[in-house]
Amino acid sequence: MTALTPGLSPESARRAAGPGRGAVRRLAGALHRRPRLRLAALLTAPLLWLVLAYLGSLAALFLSAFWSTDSFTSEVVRIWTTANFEELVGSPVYRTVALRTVGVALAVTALCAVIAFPLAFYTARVAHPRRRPLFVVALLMPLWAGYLVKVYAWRLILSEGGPLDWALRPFGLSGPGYGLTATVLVLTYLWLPYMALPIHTALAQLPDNLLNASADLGARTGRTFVSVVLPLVWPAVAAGSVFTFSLSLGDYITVQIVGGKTQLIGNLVYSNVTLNLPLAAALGTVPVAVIVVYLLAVRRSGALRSL
Amino acid sequence: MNLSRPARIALRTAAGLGFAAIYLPLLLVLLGSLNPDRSASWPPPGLTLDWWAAAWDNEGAREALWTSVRAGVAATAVALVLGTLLAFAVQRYAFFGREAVSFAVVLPIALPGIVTGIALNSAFGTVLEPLGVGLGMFTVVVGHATFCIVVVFNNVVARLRRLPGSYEEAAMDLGAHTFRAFRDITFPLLRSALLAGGLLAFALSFDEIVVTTFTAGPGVQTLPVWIFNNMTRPQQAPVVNVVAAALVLLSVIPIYAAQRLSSDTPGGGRV
Amino acid sequence: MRPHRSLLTAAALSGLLLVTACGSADPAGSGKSGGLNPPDLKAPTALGKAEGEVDLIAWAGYVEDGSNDPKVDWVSAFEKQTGCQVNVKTAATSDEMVSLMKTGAYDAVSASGDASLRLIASGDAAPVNTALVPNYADVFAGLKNKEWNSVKGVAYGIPHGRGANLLMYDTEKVRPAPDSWSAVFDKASAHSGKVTAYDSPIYLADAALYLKATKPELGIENPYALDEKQFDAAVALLKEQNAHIGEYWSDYLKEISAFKSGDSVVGTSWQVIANLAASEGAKVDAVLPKEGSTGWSDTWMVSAKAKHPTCAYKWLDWIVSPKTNAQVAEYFGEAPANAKSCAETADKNHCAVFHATDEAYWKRVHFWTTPIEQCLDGRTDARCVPYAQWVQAWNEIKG
Repeated sequence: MTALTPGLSPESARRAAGPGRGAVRRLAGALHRRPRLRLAALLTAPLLWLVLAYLGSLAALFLSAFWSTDSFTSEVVRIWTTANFEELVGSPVYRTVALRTVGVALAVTALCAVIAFPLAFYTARVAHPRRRPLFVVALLMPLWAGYLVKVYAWRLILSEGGPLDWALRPFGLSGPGYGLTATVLVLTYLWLPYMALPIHTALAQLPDNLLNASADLGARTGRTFVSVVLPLVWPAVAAGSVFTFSLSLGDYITVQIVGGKTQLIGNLVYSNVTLNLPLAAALGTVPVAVIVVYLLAVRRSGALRSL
Repeated sequence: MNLSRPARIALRTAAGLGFAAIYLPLLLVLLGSLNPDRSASWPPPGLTLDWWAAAWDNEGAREALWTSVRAGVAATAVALVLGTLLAFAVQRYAFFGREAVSFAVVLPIALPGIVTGIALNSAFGTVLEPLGVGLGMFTVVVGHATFCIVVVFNNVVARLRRLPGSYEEAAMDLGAHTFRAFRDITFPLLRSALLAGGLLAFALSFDEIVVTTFTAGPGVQTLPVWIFNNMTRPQQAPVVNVVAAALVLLSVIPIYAAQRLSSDTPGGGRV
Repeated sequence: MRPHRSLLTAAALSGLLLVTACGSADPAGSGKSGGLNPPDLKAPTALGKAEGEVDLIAWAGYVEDGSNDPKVDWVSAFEKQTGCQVNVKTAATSDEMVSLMKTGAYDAVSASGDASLRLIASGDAAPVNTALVPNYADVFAGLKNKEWNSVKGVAYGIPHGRGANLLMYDTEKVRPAPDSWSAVFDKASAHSGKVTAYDSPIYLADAALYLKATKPELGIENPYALDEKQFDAAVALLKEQNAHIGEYWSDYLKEISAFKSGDSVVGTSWQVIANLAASEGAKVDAVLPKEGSTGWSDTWMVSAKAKHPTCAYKWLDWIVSPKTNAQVAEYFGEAPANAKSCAETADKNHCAVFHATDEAYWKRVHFWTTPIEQCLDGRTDARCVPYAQWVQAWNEIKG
């Protein structure tokens, strides 16, 4: 608490009240007496940014989903129509792709959780305490390697006769090649740190006495894990899943590189951006709706607080 | 938790395999930077340091790195200010719409980058262009800051939750005014949370490509955009591998620093 | 050849749609006359003193000053010789090029065939007095006064180079050597899962070109002018093909690595890809099949608001000068525009490999054009499928 000492000293407080600081002090006083004003001062800038700049542009984009484009000029025609949404619902292509995308996102999330848990358990509770920070660094480092570089590295790994085939050959197996499986695999790799870090943090913060109490009350390791550890770590898993799920749902670059001929909803949005923005916007509502529902569901677990 | 010996061994093995899976592809990037072929191949026909020399001379890569650093620093600065303000409002006050605000702040990072990207792109086109502001560094920073706010916000909120308001009250009782109490009491206590949040914000901005594609003006080339443009040019692909390998090696410094700085919170920063 | 041809064709092709709207009948049929009617701009008749600098918009790899690779530099010599300092903005899409040109802050642009028409129609690009570009005389006749770089016989730019979309195949796995696009269509099943195709809606034209030769009853004249029935036939063909596709490619590197590893054994390609893949040990060859092929070509244009017109003209002359055009063509992997460049290439075979002087070869190449509702083949009794629908169909084909 040494950092607090100067602030708590009456002497320094008196100095601050000295001549020349009057205006600041008056403003501070005014703010202090009016909590509403203080709140407004705190909220104005961030809300202007988030609501006006961000939500505003989003709303404008989704409004344009109800417009159409002139087939000659490709320019947006501002006449209200639900044609884009009818096409979205009616066309089997969009339905298939939307379902495929949600499936990929769920698979990636599940895989990330399954892989990240033992990893984080080791780094947070099994590894020597002195080495733990090093392991966290090791978990985070891939984030700096560059998304594209990693995806291209995976393209090489999955290529025919590439490192994966080469490693699997002794077992009489071969890699999955480019396609849906490859996409899930690579996305899992890319987003794993986003899952591992919150789980690590949650596990590291588990109070030892809680675990000891559980053991004292006769619970075996397995029981402690299910009844004590899992419930406490669950919000962290949910928090990580927000990243893995939403990042997978919107991705369109990875699938282009390792997905073979697979396309996801992001590819459809991207291919329509320049020529048919209203349709792109309508397509964009699919991942947005899915994610908002997902976030609302996850919020119950308190996960958004441990993001 | 007292783990049995087999359980420990199993965890150790799982972690070993996990780390191997994380690092083998990165090792491959390093190997790629030493591969004399211009496009990726397996197994590499030989090893060479030529590409490292070529990368050293590559002005485009250096400029892109500098652009990325500037964009990252600016976006992080904006996110730090806005995220902290918002965190104080949400954590210290009860007001109508508080839940909605803490939900809205998560959206920019949870929604697909392509949606955020095209939304901002068309908004910039309609609002800024008539004012004579084209797409450029400014718009990139706005785009990045939007999704960086949440990491700062979360770090600060988490810290404030464990930080009783009584310290500030005590300072004020002793005569310090609002700003002074913040400067002398609250800020020092928040410092490590701000650093952890800021570093993550910077990392997010540094590796972002989708929103950048839609908000960057023609002259603005961040490192990921440079990589995207060069990854597909046969003359440059190995140079990209060198840059990536160098970045991985260099990234140890900021991450380790962040770990040390946030060592008062077990587990360190939050995503 | 640029990194993301598919992305930019999509972006670029959208440009032409705007053009046609300006110059031709609207859907309501108010009966405006067809054809392009650009604003009446005059080309300069003489050049003044060099202004000391020039602002260019270019594709990556077109204006190299040694900053990416010290050995690749044809800008420094220009600056030294003319005193014109070169400032270049690399654009990623044709849309970007057009919007940059509209700012009026640039002097010249390396526009793709589709963006170029848009610039002409909007009056952003001025006619070019080719007499002020001495090296224009040596440009191949096959590139002069084409529909993407001129209007009614008036030149609007200087051709930069050209390339064809070829059929590439693995010489060991695909036997006998194919000479027809049937290798990727009707006979694709022979290499199911290892066929590759270009990832862009414009690839529908390749299918149409094949149908033109194999299904004469459809009456396809121009692969970019397809009526509903012809279009559906092309879509059906590509849907069949999709079952045999391993992956679609949109960048160089992706295709080279796929052919090197054997993930792809037959599909569309560019000459430069074939060369690079071969130089890295892949057993591949590329041919122009008997049905002909699609292709692309770019043009250097001068802004109507150019602040440095003299330096811009000097640049146009420089980029198509024998030596520089040879350097660009080799770095980029395309056929040069200047006939004399063939004597200047570092690789003496470059022109032969890229068929630069082979006009009979280029006669068989149908250069990319934007499909519009008015049939480009001159039919007036039919409505053709516009590009926006090609995009939808392409999404559907990929499934």
